[in-house]
Amino acid sequence: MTEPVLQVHDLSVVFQTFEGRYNALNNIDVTINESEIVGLVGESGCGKSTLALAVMGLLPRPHAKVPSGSITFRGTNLLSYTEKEMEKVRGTDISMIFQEPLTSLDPLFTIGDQLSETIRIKLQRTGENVRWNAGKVRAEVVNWMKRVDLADPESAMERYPHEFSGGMRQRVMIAMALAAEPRLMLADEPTSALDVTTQVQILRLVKSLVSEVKASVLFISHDLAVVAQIADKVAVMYAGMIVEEASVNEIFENPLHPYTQALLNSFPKEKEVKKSRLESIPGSVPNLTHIPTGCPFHPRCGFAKEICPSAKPELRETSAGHKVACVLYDQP
Amino acid sequence: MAVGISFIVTSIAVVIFGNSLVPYDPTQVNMMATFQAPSLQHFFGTDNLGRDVFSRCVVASPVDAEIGFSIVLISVFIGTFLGSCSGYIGGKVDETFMRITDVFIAIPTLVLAVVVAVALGPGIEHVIEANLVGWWPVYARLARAGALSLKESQFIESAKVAGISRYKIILKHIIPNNFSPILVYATLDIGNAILYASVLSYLGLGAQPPQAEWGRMVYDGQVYLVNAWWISIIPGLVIFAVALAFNLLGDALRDAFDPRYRK
Amino acid sequence: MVRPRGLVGFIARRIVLSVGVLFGVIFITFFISRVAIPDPARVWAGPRASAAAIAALTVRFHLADPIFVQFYYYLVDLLHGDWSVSPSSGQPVFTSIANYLPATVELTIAAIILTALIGIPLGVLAATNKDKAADHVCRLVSLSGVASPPFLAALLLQLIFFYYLKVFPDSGGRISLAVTPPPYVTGLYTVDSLIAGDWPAFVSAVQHLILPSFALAFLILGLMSRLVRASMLEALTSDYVRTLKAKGLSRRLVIYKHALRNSMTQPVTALSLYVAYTLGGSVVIESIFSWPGVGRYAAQAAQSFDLPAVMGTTIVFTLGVVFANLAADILLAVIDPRIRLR
Repeated sequence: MTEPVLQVHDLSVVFQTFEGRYNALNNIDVTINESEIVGLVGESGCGKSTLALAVMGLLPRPHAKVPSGSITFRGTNLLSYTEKEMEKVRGTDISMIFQEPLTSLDPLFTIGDQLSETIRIKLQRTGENVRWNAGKVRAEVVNWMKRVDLADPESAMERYPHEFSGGMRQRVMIAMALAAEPRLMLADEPTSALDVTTQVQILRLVKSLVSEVKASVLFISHDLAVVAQIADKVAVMYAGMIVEEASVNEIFENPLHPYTQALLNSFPKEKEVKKSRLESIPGSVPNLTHIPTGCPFHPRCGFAKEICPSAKPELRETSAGHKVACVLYDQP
Repeated sequence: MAVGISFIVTSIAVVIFGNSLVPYDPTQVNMMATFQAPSLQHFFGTDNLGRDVFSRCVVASPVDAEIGFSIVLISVFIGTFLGSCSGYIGGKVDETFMRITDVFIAIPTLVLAVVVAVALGPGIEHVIEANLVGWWPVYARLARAGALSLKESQFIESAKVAGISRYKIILKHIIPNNFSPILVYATLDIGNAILYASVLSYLGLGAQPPQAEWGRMVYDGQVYLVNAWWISIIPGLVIFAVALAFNLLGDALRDAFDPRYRK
Repeated sequence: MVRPRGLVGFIARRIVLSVGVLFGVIFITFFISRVAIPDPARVWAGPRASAAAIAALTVRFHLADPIFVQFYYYLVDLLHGDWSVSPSSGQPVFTSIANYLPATVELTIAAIILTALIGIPLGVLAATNKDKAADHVCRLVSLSGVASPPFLAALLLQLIFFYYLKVFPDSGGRISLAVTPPPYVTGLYTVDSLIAGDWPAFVSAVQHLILPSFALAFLILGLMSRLVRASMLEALTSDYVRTLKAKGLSRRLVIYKHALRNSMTQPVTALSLYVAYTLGGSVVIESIFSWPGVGRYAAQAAQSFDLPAVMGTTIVFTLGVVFANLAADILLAVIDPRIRLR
C-alpha cells in the first residue's frame, strides 16, 4: 500500500475567543490515500472546516492554537512549516474550495484574471518564466474553463464574478483549485449554497475531474446524501471528534455509532435527495465551549450507558477499514 | 478615554469658574510687560499689549464652549426631528428631503458658515446661526438612516397596529432608539464645532474685541509669530487640545456602544 | 480592463443628478443674497455707496418684483458671469475669482495627491499591524489632523521650516520673486513650467507648494487613513482573501493587488469630502502662506464683510465639490465593475 497523501494524527485545535476557550478539534486522526475521496460529515459547528483550515495553515491567528498532533503531507509535517513554506504548498500541492463562491471570488477582477493567477503560480513553481508565456497562460485558462463546462470561454473570461450564477462561479472555483493539478483538494461544503440540480452537476464534475487529475479530495459537508454521491470513504464527526469512519457502503449498510445511525434515520428513504433534517435527533449540538464530558454525544444518545459521561471512547477498528469510537463496541 | 474625560471635566470647571479664577485681569493693558515669554509668572506669556495670555485663554473659553455646544445641540434637535420624520414617512417626502440635504452637504460647511456670517453681520449669535445652516443636514441623515432601519422592526409594527399616531411613534419610539449613534457623533462634533467657530472668529466674524476669543487671538498674534510665537500658537494649541479631548471622548463612546465589545 | 458598456450611461445619470444639486445650491445662494437679508441692495452696493447707486441696484436686481422673477434674473446674471462688484476691492467678483482660481486648483490637487501618498500607506500599515505600534501611530496622526484648527498647522509649519530651519524659500506666494512664472497654459505653475521646459521655475514652484499643501493635507490625512484602515481590515478578513491565500498567492500580492483595490471604495467616495474640507481650509491656509488663491480672496472679503465676494467664492467652491463628486463616481465605476449596473 502506497504512502497516504495526507495523514492527520492526534490533531487538536483550540480557539481562544471573547466567549472563552473552546476545543474545535480533539485528537483527530484522518488518513487520505492516493486518488481517494474522503467525505467528512457533521453538523455545522462540529469542527470540520477547522480541520481543512488547519491543513492549509489558514487558521485565524492569533486565536487558534495547535497544542498537539501532526499533519503529514507527502512525508513532512505541515505544522512545522513557516508561513512562506506553506505559501508554496498552497494552490499547487494542496488546494481548497469554499462554500459561497460569490464572496469567495474577488469582485473586482475578471474570472479570466483570477484563473490566470492560478496558472501563473503553477508555471512559476515548475520553473517556467511566466512573462514570456502570456499566450500559454491564456490557452490554459480557456482549456480549464472548457473542462469545467463553462460555455463560451473567450467571452466569459472577460466577465466578473457577479455576472455569473452560483453554479458557474463554483465551476470557476473548481477550475482554480484543480488547474495546478494538486495532490489534494479540500472542499468545504462546495454544494451547500447551490440548488439541488446544480448540486448534482457539480458533484459529477468534481468526481470526474479529480480522477483525471489524479487528486485526492477531502469533501466536507453536513449533508450525508451529498457525501454519498461522491465519497469513497466517510468519516463522521461530532463536537470535534471523529466518531466513525468506514467505506461509504459500510456507513450506509452498517452504521455502528449511535450518532451515525441517528443521522441515517433522519435521512429520508425516498429517492429524492433532501438535506438531512438533524433536528429530529433530540437535543442540540453542544456549544464547543461546553463539550459534555466523556463521550460528547452521550446526552443525546439513545444507547447511553453509565460509563459514557466519564470515559471518552477511542476510535477503534471493529472490522477491516471500519472504525468506531463508542463503548458499545469495545471488547472487554 | 480617561485622558479625555479628565480634560473635559477640568475644562468645564474652567468655563464655569474661570472668570473668577484668573490670575490677571485679561483686559488689563500693561505696556511694561509686553512680549514676555511663558514663565511661572505668566504661564502662557504676555501679548503685544502686555495682557496675560493665560487669563485671556481662560476667559475666552465660555465663548467658544457656548458656540460649540449651541451649534451641536440645536443641530441635533432640528436634524434628528426632520430626519426621523423623513425616514419614517418615506416616499416622495423622503426623496425630496434627501435632495434638499444633498444640496446643503454639497456646499463646504466652512464656506457656507462664512457666507451666512458675513450676511448676518458680527456677533456670537450670528456665528451660531451661520454654522447651523450647514450643520443640521448631517444629523438629519443620521437620524433618517436610523429611522429607516427601525421602521421595519417588530415593535414599530405593533405600535402602528395599535393605532398610535405617526408623530407619537416618531417621538416616543424612533428617536429614543436611535440615540446612541447620534450621541457618539455629536460628541465628536462638538470638537468640530469649536474648530469652526474659532476659524470664523479668526476671520473676524465672531466675537468682537475686546472680548477674548481663541481664534481671534491667533489672528491678532500672527504678526508677532517670529519673535513671540506664544501669542498665536498657544491659543491655537488650546483649541487643538479641546477638539482632541472631544474626539477621544467620542471615540471612547463609540467603542463603548459597539456591540462587539459587549460581554 | 474597463468595459465601456454601462459606463457612459452611468456617467450621464450622475451628471443629471449633479445639475439638480447645483440648481439647489444656486437657489440657496440666491435666498441668502436677496431674500434672507434685510436690505440686499445696500449690502451689495457696499457701505459707502450713494443712495443713487443703491436705487440703481434695486432696479437691476428686480427687488421690487416677486421672488420668481428675481430668481430668474439672478440666474441669468450668474450664467453670464455677472457676479456683481466686490465692494471691498472694487473689482468684479467673477473676474477676480477667475484670476485666483488656478492657484487654488493647484493647491487643492497637490493637497489631495499628498494626502493619498501619505494616507493610503498609513492606512494599509495600520490595518496590517492592527493594535501594534504602527496602528497607534496612525491613529495619533489621524486624530491630530482631525482636531487641528487649520491655522495651527500652517503657522507651526511656517515657524519651523520657514524661520527656524530655513529649509523652504523666503517669500510667500507661489514662486520665488527672482523667478519669472512660466507662460500660461493651465494656470498651474508646476504643470506649465514642465510644459515650457523651465526647470528653475518648476523647482521654485514646487518649493513654494509643499508647505501649504502639506498644511492642507494634514487636515484630511486622518480621514483618509481611517477609511483605508477600516476598509483594509474588512478586506483582509473577507472570504475572497481566504481564497487568494488558499491559491498560494504571496502575501504581498494579496495585500497590494487585491485587498488594497477592494479597500478603495470608501476612500474614493469621500473624495468630495476631501475637496470640501480642503477648500474650506484654503480660506485660512492661503492667507497665512500668502497664496494668491480664491481662499485668500474669500478671507480678505470676509474680514471686510464683503458679501458679493464671499458669495461668489461659495458658488465656485460648491462647483468644485460637485465636480469632485462626479470625478469620484467615475473613478469608482472604473475600480468596481458592480457599480456600473446602478
